[in-house]
Amino acid sequence: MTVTFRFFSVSRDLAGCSTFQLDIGQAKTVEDALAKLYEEKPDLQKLEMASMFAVGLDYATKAQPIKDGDEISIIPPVQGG
Amino acid sequence: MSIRITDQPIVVPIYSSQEAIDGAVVDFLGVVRGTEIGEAITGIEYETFFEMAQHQLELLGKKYITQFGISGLDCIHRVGFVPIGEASLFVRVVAPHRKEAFDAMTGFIEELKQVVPIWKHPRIESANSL
Repeated sequence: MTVTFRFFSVSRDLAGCSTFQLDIGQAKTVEDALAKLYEEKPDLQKLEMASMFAVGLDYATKAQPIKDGDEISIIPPVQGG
Repeated sequence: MSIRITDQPIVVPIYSSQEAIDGAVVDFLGVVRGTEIGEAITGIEYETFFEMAQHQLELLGKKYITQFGISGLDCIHRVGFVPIGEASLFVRVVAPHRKEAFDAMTGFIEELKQVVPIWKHPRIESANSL
């Protein structure tokens, strides 16, 4: 199963790219997918506690199920306004 | 309800009454200050996850219209580089009475700052003069 991670602001800086496609094997949840991501990009783990996560355009918990082709975004603390 | 994200300067729309019951219109402009964390800046670069920001602002606007007794909410958020003194955010709340309008305005902006995927990158003045 393949998903695409999207990065913004400081998460993009740590990832070194804006998007990253990854085969996550049998991962079933956002949390499983993140574990696979951290194997490839360990620096992103520094943001784990401060970040929110989205699947598509909606925020997701780490327990949220995922499917092949999903886009998972790492959303560092937002600063709009 | 109108929600818009743009890289163009914000032009405040003229108000024209939609409903005979509305007695309060509150407009807010968020303007880029000349300093950020004590340092002089020339402006702020606003980065966004455009599609998600639009979606989250629409969800938030609908929530305030259905739950907070207001009859209208318009929001324009500027992205890209915004020079100091120019507006990065415009919000208009329309309601039958001023209390609902002011309360909704405060709540909407507070929540916007927590959930809408937009990030600030201040441009420090001294960095530009090198």
